[in-house]
Amino acid sequence: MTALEALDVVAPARLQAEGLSLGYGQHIICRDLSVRIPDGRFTAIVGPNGCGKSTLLRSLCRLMPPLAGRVCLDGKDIHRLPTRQLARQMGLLPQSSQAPSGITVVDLVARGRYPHQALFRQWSDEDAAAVSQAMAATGVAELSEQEVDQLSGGQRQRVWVAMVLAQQTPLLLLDEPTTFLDIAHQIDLLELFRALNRAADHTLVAVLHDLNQACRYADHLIVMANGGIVAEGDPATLMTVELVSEVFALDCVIIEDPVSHTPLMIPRGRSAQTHPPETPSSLWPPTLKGREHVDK
Amino acid sequence: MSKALPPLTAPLNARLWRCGGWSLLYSPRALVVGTVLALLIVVAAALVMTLGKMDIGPGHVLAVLLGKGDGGLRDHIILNIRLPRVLAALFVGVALGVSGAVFQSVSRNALGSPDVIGFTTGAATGALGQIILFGPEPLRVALAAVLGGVLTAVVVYVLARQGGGVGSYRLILTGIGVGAVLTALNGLMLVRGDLDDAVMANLWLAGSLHARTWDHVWPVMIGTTLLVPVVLAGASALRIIEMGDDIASQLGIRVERVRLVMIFAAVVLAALAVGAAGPIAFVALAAPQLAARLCRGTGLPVLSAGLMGGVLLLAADLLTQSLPLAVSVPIGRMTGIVGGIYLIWLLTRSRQL
Repeated sequence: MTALEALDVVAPARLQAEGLSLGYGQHIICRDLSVRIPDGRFTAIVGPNGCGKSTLLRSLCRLMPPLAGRVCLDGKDIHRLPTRQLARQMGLLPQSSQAPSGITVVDLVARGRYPHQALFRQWSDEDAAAVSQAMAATGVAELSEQEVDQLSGGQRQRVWVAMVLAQQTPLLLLDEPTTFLDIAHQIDLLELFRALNRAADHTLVAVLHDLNQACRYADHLIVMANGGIVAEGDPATLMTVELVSEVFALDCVIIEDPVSHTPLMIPRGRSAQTHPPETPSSLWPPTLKGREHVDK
Repeated sequence: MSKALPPLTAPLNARLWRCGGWSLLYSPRALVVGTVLALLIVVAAALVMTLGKMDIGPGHVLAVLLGKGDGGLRDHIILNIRLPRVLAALFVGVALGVSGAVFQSVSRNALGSPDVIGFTTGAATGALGQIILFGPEPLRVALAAVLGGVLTAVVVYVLARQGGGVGSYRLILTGIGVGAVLTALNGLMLVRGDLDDAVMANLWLAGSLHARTWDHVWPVMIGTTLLVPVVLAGASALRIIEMGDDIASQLGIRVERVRLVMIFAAVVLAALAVGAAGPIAFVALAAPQLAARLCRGTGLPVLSAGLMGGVLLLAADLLTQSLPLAVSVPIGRMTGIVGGIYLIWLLTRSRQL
């Protein structure tokens, strides 16, 4: 039984892709890729630059039509679903968006309600409640009357998250949500995502750059390289020195994160490769020796 | 986060109107601006109606408009000269204002108006071709202008798409390039045609509201009445597309389709305006900007931009008619001078350039 089949038995998945080939014209990025996004989990897609992480995420929310294969939500091809209906099930935080100049925070967040509205049903009590909740959850309620242009990068990103939250979709896709933020704001945002995942039972999928943050906050990891999926599963069992070496061509040590008790990857650096380590390079999974090492 | 939140009834600066399952959001400020602009239109139209070589009092104008004229020369002047002129000015202005609002939204740039990105020039090419080759029959000129405008739009759209999306500068720069070629073509046609046609075409090219007949008015009036509701229905989607194609399509908008329909509507509006009054500069560029500044909203000010366009054109017509000059200035030249200054001002204060 492969890992994929094991998952099939364990976790239900509303969002699945089968036999996906993705690319632009002649340039093919992913070939014959199949993936299942387990419901109610925080899934992180990781891999080196250009491995097709963002391409896969974009195709999962129909921003990129596949060259072959299909993406299904509840067994239905997402390209055949009415776009508004899909937008009530699945939200995406894209890598970059442009706030109209002069727009206030509350007005921007309110635009997340678009798929719930109609030409003659422009605002309802549910809209108002969803916007208030989203702003409270992301901590931007105090900023509601300020202009988005005037905010700092971290605040602005939280406003965009609030907009997508106001959409109230059970599935939430995040394309490199922490890029361009300082470390404190990165942690804030990731903790917010995990809280959302735990509290509201959102299914989250995020493309993340930082392997250690992915291990720390996600509970399902999809590791990609060269347009294919190399491994997927629970970060604690998945992360090995061999995998990092295979995917990133990077020699590393993996220890236990002393705070979160998840795998922590420490690169040895390229120059260290010429001097083979004397100590065993694998300290993960935590053996007795590994733990002692950390506790010192 | 635990702080009690103030009850949120609607987005800021908007009021909610509810009736049964229906709800509409509106901005009180935009409502006031719209009402004031509509009143200005009525006043300006009334002034234009009483202005002219023959002195006709407002009372008589009103009587004729209500169908109580005496059937004399003055009735003829009011119904077949002044009324078509006023309606042409009004609907050309509305069409240009709405068209400009759409293009500035699609290109995400204040410079993206149909006169800057070559669509007005393309419509003029079509109309000129009709005038020089077949004659100045108004309905055919209007049709030729629409054809020219739509063809230009297709060329610009296809060229701008080559590198991916149609966003921002790519559309504007491609449009400026295509517009330059068409301007040269327009000049060439004037040289090639026989003298009478060339003089006629040259006058038309200046943009004029003189000698408008009902045949000039009908196409732009009907076209505007049909297309403005289309633009209104798509305005909220267009407003969201301004935030980026990705965010708009994840919100459930068919970005490319909305954009195509809206561009088509805006091109036809601009072309109908050109067909009725020649290429009138500045109105499509300025009306949406002025309307947006007055309304202070972040929405797409379709209605106020249209009304503003009507006010601007009627005001320009009043000005050209009442200036103490021996020759009457074509309205297109008038808006061109004012518009040029406005464009320079826009460029000097733009941070994006």
